[in-house]
Amino acid sequence: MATADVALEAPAARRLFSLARPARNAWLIVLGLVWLLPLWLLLITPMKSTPEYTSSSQWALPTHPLRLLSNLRTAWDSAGLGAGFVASLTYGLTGAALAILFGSLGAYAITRLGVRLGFFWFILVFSGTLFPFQMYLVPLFNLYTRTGLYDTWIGMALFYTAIAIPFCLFVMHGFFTTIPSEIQDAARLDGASDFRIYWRIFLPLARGPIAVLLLFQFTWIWNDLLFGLVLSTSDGVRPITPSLLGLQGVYANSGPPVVLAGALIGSLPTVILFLLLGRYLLRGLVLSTGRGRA
Amino acid sequence: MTASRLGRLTPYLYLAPMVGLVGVFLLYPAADTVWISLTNSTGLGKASYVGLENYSNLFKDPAFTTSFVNTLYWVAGVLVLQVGLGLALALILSSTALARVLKGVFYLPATISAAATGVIWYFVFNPDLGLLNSGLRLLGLGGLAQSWLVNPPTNTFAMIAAFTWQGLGPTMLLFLVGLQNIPKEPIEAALVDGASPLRLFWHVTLPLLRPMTAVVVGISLINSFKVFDLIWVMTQGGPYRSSETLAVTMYRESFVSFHVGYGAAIAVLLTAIVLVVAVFYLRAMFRRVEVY
Amino acid sequence: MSSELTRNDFLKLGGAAAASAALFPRSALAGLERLGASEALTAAKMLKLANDKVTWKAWFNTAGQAAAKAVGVGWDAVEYSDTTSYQAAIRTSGRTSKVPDLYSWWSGWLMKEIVDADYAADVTSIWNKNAAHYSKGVRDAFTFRGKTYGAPLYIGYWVLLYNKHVFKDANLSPPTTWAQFTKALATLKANGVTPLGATIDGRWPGFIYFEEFLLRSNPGLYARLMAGKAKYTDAGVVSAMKLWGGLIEKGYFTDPASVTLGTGASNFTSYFKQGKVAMVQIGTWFEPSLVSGGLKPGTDFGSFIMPNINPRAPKVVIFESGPLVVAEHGANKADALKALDYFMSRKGQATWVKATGFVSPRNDVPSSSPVDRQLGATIQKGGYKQFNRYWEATPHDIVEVAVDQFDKFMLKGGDPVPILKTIQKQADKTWRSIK
Repeated sequence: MATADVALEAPAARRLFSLARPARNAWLIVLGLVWLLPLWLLLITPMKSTPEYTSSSQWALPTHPLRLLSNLRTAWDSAGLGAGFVASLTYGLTGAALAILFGSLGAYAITRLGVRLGFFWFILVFSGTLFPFQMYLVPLFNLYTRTGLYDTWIGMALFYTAIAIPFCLFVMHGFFTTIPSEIQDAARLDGASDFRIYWRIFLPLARGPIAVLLLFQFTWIWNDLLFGLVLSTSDGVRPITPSLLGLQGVYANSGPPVVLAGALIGSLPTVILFLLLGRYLLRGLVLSTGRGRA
Repeated sequence: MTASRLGRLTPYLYLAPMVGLVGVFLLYPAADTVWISLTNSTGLGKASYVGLENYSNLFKDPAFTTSFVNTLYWVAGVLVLQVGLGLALALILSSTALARVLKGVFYLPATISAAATGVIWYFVFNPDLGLLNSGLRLLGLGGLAQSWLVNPPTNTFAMIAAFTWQGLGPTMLLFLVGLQNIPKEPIEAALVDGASPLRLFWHVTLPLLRPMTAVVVGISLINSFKVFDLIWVMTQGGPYRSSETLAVTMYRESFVSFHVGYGAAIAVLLTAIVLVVAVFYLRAMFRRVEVY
Repeated sequence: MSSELTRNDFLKLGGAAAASAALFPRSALAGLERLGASEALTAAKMLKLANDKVTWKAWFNTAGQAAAKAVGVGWDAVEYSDTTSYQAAIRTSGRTSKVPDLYSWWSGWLMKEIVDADYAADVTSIWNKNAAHYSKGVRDAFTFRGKTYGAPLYIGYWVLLYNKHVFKDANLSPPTTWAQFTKALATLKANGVTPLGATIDGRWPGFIYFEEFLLRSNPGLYARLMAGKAKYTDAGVVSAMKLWGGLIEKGYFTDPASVTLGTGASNFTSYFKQGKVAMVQIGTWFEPSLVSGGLKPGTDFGSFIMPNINPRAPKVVIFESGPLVVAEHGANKADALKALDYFMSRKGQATWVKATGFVSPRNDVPSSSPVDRQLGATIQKGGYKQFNRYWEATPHDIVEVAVDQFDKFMLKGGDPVPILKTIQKQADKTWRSIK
């Protein structure tokens, strides 16, 4: 049973939260509904045609919800969204996976392999996440145009991997320090090499943090706007979020229904990923082995 | 090379990929920006070295003061709202079926992009047709209805609310995971001793949660300095520059006005602040976690 | 969509040619001769035309293929989805051969930078060829130190778009004098309709009414102010602002914080269509947005030019025009010049206007929209002097400060003098660094 439950089921707790559970749940449901309210417009607007949208209140329910499909198609075709969708999918998966791999390798080295100046290496890599990202834009653009990485899949993939590494290092480092040294010692006694210990023991133990990192980093990469804009431009290389931007802008003439249909397309994979991985997480995977080094 | 020397080198092979990638794609551009901040670059033509002139101009710029203050509001706001509410939700939500659905509901906004969040909340705050004012009028509180994104500092707080709506999910999630991992014995022992829920929380739960709290506070702290997409989409730092933060000012100077050298100086300054905060913070957390 | 037809036709022709070539060799030869046109198309040189107007992609490609057919050099559009990253890309690649052969840009002071940096090719000779068909005002927007550097990609005239039904209900027709205009404003207001649409969405719209009220009070002052030969604190400017402030106080404008106009997700069209707002001062390029919202040009909406405040001032209209630039350092400069020459010709403009529905800056190419045809005729017959809009007509550093201040004025009203003083402070700084 979760700790929160233990704490709150206690008689003392019931006195503090003097509302009975049904009342508390009612308030929570209200909060949940209010939380979702801003998304309501995002849902009903793409179900209207633009003339329908401009003729009635934005709150009016759509008369023909299936207009959603036509808006989705328009959005998909208008701004190179299809190609962007696929591109972002590949960047998200590759970038997140590689960043987790490299970050955990580095975290392992710092925490377990006795690398000298561990804190220095940690802060060196972690500092990559401290800078305001816009400051990378112009130098990266110059670097990419000079080396021919501009507007290439590999250029984007390398960047997304690099930028996802610091946070992965951060989390994996935190996790690895909680693994008791006994596990490592026992494995060494059995003759396992350092790498084997990493691959066979530490990584599997880190299933929880890895799932979290996969979710967070994929979402970040998928939702990135600035770097996709600056470092790429052709269909197939440019990710989806910058492509969506093309539907807006002063000279665009698609109305809100098409723009928001595009936003729906842009949001779908991350929502699906969350539904897949989130359940796995929310059921409560351990972020540590619970016992520490004592 | 002897086996032992090779052996001593192998740990560095583990470090190599991540250091290499981060070095080339993140640290090199950062260093380049520091160089640019010492020039009067406009992105066009040749840039000439001007020393610390950009930095001295920064401190004379009235927009900089506003920007700096707004950044502080953001840091405070994110720490209080995002971290505080995230913790509260994690504590309140148990593992019933309803709670599981609610956890999904609260996390959902985190799956959409900051730009999309900005657009959605821009609509929410629209003075005439927006959700907030319409709701207030419906509840008979029309007097409270206002142009949320117009007057400083209300406009900054409004955007912080939008940011919290989106960012609460991950912090709540992390706290939930942290709560799962607290050993049950201390809690049960305290309850047996008759501790009140408040006492329990303050003296037992919270200290045991410290490693996760450290992570969440650290991430939120750093992110609060860097918020950009949301602000740009909602107000572009306006009206009349009243809601700019250092990150927004940097972008505006570099990409709207093309004072690229000046913008780079702002970026360097912002980074220096974040770096100082982060190093102090991480050092403390680094050691504490190892002890745990 | 005309572009899709062209492409489909081409593909069908190509497919038919291939089939016949495979099955009937002799007739294939004859077929190939007949298909000389599409052969030429495949043999034509296709250049890269970069721009930040993503939804114009199909139009660019239509025109590009027409050019290829006509002169053997055409173009494919390369789209950037965001203005700032587009500008950054051109600025950094402009000096190298990686720059796109042709690219869209902004006129006036925004163009001066790239001309000074030697990014744009001199196209004076092409202009001289076509001089009779383009207004001087437009040419001046692309001319620096006597030489012209770009062809007008599009021209938008800044007019008042009005809802014809609302006007009819209020018994109004487009005003021709300022007195009629103010009377119309009052009538509309009395009828419960907000007369004029105003917005600060995106920051930049702050200058829209400023430029109109100043220009129509004193065109000479407007021109001098743009060139730095007058000050924002001069009496003429102050009185124009005070006039604007007066109209705001009378409630003739929509709440600029509520109405959005600048993005695809804007709400202005809804207000306009539902008759809540009667007019808006905007560029003619906004008309397709009204059309996609279900309004018909001519039936549901029309346009007229705002009457002059000063009745003795000559007839004036503000335009905006973006150039199509040939990259000076581009790898295919000679071909690009050929393509530009076609674009400025009557045939080229006709194709472009047919695809886009825009107004053509050529006086012998009518627009396909009835509203714009009428507007074009009005401007020609009336001998309107054309002025470049504020955004491009004066150095950009001043513009950025000014629009923030104008936004403030629109939101808060009050005494315009402190606002003008703030703008003038920046203007002093900028003009000093330019001289």
